[in-house]
Amino acid sequence: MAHVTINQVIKNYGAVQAIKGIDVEIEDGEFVALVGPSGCGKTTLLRMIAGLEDISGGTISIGGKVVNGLQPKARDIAMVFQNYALYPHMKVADNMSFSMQLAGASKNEIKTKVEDAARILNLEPYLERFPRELSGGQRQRVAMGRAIVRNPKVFLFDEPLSNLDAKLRVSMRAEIKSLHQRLGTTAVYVTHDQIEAMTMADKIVVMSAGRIEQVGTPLELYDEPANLFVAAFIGSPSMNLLSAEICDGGVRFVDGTVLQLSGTEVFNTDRRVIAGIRPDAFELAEQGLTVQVEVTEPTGAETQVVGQIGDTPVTCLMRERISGRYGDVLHVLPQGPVHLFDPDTGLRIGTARAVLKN
Amino acid sequence: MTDTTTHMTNSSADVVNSSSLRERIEEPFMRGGQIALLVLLALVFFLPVAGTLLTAIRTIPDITQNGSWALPLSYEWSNLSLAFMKMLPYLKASAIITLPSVAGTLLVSMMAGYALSRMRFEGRIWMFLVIVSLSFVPVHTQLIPVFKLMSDLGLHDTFWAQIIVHIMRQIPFAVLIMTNFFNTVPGELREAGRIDGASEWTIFQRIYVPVARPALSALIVLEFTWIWNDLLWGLVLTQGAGKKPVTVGILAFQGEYEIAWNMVASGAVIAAIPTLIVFLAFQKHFIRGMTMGSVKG
Amino acid sequence: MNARLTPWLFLMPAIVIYGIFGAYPIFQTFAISLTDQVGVAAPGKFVGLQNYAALLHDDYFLNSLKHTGIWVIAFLLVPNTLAISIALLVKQTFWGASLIKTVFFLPLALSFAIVGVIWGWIYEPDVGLLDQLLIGLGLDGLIVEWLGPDAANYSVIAAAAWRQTAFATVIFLAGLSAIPQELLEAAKVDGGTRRQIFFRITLPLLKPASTIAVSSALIQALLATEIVLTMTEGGPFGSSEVVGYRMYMETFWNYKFGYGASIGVIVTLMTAAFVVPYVRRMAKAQERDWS
Ligand SMILES: Nc1ncnc2c1ncn2[C@@H]1O[C@H](COP(=O)(O)OP(=O)(O)OP(=O)(O)O)[C@@H](O)[C@H]1O
Ligand SMILES: [Mg+2]
Repeated sequence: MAHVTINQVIKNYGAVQAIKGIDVEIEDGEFVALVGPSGCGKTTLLRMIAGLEDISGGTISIGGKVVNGLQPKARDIAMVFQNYALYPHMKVADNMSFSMQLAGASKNEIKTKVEDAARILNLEPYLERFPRELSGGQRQRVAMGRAIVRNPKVFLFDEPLSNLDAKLRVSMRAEIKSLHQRLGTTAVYVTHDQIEAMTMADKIVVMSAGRIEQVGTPLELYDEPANLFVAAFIGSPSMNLLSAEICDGGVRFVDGTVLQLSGTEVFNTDRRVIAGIRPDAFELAEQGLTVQVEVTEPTGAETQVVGQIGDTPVTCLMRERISGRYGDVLHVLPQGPVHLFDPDTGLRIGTARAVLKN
Repeated sequence: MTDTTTHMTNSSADVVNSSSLRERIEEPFMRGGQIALLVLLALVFFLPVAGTLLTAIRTIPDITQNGSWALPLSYEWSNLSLAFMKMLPYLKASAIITLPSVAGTLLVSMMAGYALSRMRFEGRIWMFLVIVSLSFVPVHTQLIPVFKLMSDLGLHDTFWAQIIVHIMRQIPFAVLIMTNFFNTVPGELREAGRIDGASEWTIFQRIYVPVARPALSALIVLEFTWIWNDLLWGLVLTQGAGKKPVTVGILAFQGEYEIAWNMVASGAVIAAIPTLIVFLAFQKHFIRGMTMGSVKG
Repeated sequence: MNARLTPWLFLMPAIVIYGIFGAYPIFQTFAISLTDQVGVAAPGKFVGLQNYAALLHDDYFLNSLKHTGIWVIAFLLVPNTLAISIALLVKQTFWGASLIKTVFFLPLALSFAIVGVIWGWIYEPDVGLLDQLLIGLGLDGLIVEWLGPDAANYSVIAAAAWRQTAFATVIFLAGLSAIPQELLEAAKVDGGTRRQIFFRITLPLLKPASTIAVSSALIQALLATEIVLTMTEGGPFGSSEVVGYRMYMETFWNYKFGYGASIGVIVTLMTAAFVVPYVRRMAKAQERDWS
């Protein structure tokens, strides 16, 4: 177990800079998720921690020791690959114990370790099988078994669940999470599924284009997104972002609707902002923001309304059962927080709350 | 507008119908004809082999009296056993040359193929293209200097000379095959190996070599056949009988028996048996190997 | 292990062996071709392009060049047409397919030495298998002196074509199998006739296979040496000599190493003329795939 410090790390591929100076502090035993859109550098960063990619600049240390120059095997890490990378010609038991065999561990020690790992992962019946004789979920577990057997300081996962079907993914998610809680090993987990990140991680690192957008607990990111990127990226359906400007006692939207808010007093009136409102913050109202309905999608518990406010596409999640059609008009008011972003920098400048009328 | 489209759909439907009707009638005839043609072609194709086998077990008087295609009056297995005794030294030499050559080719080309496929380094593509080009270099470009070099090294008329030359000649093709094969193996296996603490050589030897088994068996069968069947180097690099491979042996045999055609045919059968067995037993591998990198005949 | 060095360590055995015994000789052949070297013992003296000039007036060489030309044309046409027909028939009839395939593939297992010996017997006057067959079929009129001065070159080509057909059949069958069945079915549904489907779908999709079959035929035809050596030794009266055989004879029979080397260079240049465009195309594909 160890904490991992990533300090000003840079990665260049020729002229392309894939990682542009990243700082992350990962505490001992923490489960950290790296999320971000495709191509933002998550895999690259993970592989640099693993030692599979050279570090072009900055330092990475594991357990207080700078590992920049170390081979993967010297870093005391284990990695679970997206396609599992099981050795096809070795049985499950050998796949799991290959590292120990190489290290010259005794037969007994290997046997105990493999059996322990197999018990934890419910792999006992499959130890004598070849990877091709296993289902996707079982292979996934073998890949994790291979990592566990090494008893590393840090687990690295690169989208380990993305090759599984939706149902299996949910159950494996829980399995990995409980495994982490049992073993207490530091884990870095790459995913582009933000639900996965939200449900599993102690801490989420949101990346985009080789930079960090925000680091925080899942709820911090949800409740206090640092900027428009995080606001739009975290949460599903994503946050509605509407142009507005500060007015006396609230904000005024482009269509002229004025919303009474507390917490806007500190800003100059007429300052242009982007108001971010989560889909589930809306409630039906007599008057308020006018939503031009495009479709309504009932899911049973709630109804998702897709439409437009002015020219901006919006999504609202309503607890009421609404059956609107294309062209219908709804009036909604936010009951939850309204995040205010600077339209130029994209940074969140404050969070206001609706003033309840009655 | 609507009219025309309907009309067109109709007429094309007609075409489909009528042609399928015609095909339904033609089908059995076509099929029968095709089968007959194919069988005929196969028979003609097989005639040289059949004729040789037939000749090998007959006596000369029988052949001159009854013609070459008549069924044998008696089965002269002694032709074959005599041919075998005569060819035995050559067969031995061929085995001594071929087996190490195949093993050497495999080892050297697996290592090179692994590097070319799995490692990223300056000059990699360039290296690969050089190897592709080299696989087309005709023997004629190397014959004279290699002959000279082997004489200078005192290796003329040794097995070593032939083994080294065969490995050299097979390297480009075999490297090509192995590179292409390793390209199909996920690169993550190497990374998983590195994380498990394996050195580059361990990854190669304990992960990639075992995984390459299908490609290896194909390559072994092909290389065995090609090296065993080589004639030119066997002629050029040897002097005494002891070091000559069976392909040279069959020529000597032919010279010795001249018009004793039953013996010559027996010699051909004996000389061909090793590669024939390998081919018949591992036909699938052979074909796969050829289609994997097929640049030779 | 130094990471930059590792790939070269893995490549080293191949590079060393090929470098010493393969690449260095290639350059030496060019060098020797500019000398009048006789035998291996002593290096010859530099004569510039004299050997090449002499080749232009060497009737034996020009004669062999003509025969090689005939080889190339015949090899491009005969084995490939035969093979594509056989492949289509095998593909369409399924009946006894694996046995039939084995029959067509079998010559690939035989060395040119054996093919030469077998076909030598086939072409033998009177008792030979071919004459006997023609007599048996009542076609005595077709009999010629197969290995005589008029026919020998063609007869040798036929023997080699037998083996080359086997190769091309393998390639075309693999090519045909690689065509997705749905594609042909889709064409059928679209109302294509058999002929249309063959010429508009099958044949274009066989292009990779054709490239391989054609380039192999070219190279085999240009290099044909072993089979000439076993069947006719270029005779009678040089009527079946080809360039590759000429090179072998000048070198190892007449011991004119310098002169032989110059023929070797010419064989190499002829091959290169066909190979270079092929490798060029491959280079482009590689850069696409590997970058
Ligand atoms: N070997 C390489 N050479 C050049 N550029 C590379 C290389 N590997 C990755 N990149 C680039 O670096 C950037 C980050 O890639 P990376 O694989 O880390 O993305 P990712 O966040 O893992 O994306 P995904 O979610 O699609 O897996 C991308 O723009 C990619 O094109
Ligand atoms: Mg990735």
